[in-house]
Amino acid sequence: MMSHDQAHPLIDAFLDGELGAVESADFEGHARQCRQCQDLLAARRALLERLRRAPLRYPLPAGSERRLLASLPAAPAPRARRMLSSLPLPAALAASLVLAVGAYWAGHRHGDSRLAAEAFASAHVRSMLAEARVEVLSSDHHTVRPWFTGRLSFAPPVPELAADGYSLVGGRVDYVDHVRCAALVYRAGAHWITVFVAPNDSGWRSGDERTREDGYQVIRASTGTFRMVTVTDMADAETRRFVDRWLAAAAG
Amino acid sequence: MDSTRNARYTALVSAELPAAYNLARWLVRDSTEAEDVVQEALVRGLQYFDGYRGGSARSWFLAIVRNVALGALGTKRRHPEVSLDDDASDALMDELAGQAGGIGVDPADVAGGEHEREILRRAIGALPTDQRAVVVLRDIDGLGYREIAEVLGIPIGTVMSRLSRGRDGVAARLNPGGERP
Ligand SMILES: [Zn+2]
Repeated sequence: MMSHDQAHPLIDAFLDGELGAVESADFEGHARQCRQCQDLLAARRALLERLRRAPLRYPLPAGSERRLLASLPAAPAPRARRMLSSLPLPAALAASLVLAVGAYWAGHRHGDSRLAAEAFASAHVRSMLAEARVEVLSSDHHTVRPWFTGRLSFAPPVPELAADGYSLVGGRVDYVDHVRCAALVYRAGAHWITVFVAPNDSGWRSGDERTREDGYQVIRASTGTFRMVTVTDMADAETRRFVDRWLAAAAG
Repeated sequence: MDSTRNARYTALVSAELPAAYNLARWLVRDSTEAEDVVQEALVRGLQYFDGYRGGSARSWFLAIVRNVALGALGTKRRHPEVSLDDDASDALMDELAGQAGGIGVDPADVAGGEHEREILRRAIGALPTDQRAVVVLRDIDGLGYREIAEVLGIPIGTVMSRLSRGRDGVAARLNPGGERP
């Protein structure tokens, strides 16, 4: 049985879910019989709840994203190739896609159709580099949609399209073409689909259009309230079908 | 080739700018200076980019932000500090507490969320820098202990102890009359 002196330093890690299963069970075993630990736990839970409820984060000042990124020098990169060769193989393959797709990103201007399409394709490919694919992993739109609350200034539509053969993998917050947006990730067999969503007035170019970027379809459409940009390596007809189903489900 | 390297770098760090600015703002306590810190971190990150081997882009970039911010703080320390000492901060806390009708009251009773936010920001802002960094990364940014350890370059055990002391410090400032554990 854990003593109070052993348990006390673990209170925060216990509350944060950072203890292993065994340690966690030991801690709980002690806390059940220790009045002092119960009081400390209650006080700490109240504090954490209070911190969680208040918007303590300092948001980026308006316009500073653009200012900051514009400040980056266009410096030469003699070692880019060598770095690729040191990556594990799948990462190197994906990275070479990023190189191909993102070739014009650095000179990319807001509203330029071709360069913007590349930005979306690049964001899609980047997310295929494993870790950043989704931040909330769930096939349930009741989980995914509320997750965006507080992370974005709008609530994106999150259609479930499992009946049409597209499974929702999850979502994340992304920053593409100068706009903070929702990225929804779907899967259809071996194909991945990313749908970027932002309000109509966010600054993304309007109009429905389809472009191809290095093997990726980039399709822009609107629900009336939201702009959506779909990126996938599916075939043309299948991509069009997906977009139609997505728009119909988002409207209904 | 320079545009492709910059493209990959921009793609990687642009999503981390909000977290980067927030951390910088909490560390240097000034919005203009925080933006300067992020800008410097962006430039330095591009220089170090060849050393990035995958893994959490957030940890990698925030570690650079932390370095730049602490460097900026080190420079500032050579000049006299303004109103960051405990007395000044306590006086401000008392004033805010007076306006809010008592600092230890139920947050639901505090008039408006503005005071509540200001009270909590002051309490966290008054922590020593090393504890403040851990509390901000955990309780505002929601990072895991391992990520925090990577960002700050300290062992996980140190993350745990700084977080506990930091939260104790926040609680003590919110409830100055209460018992300390
Ligand atoms: Zn105990």
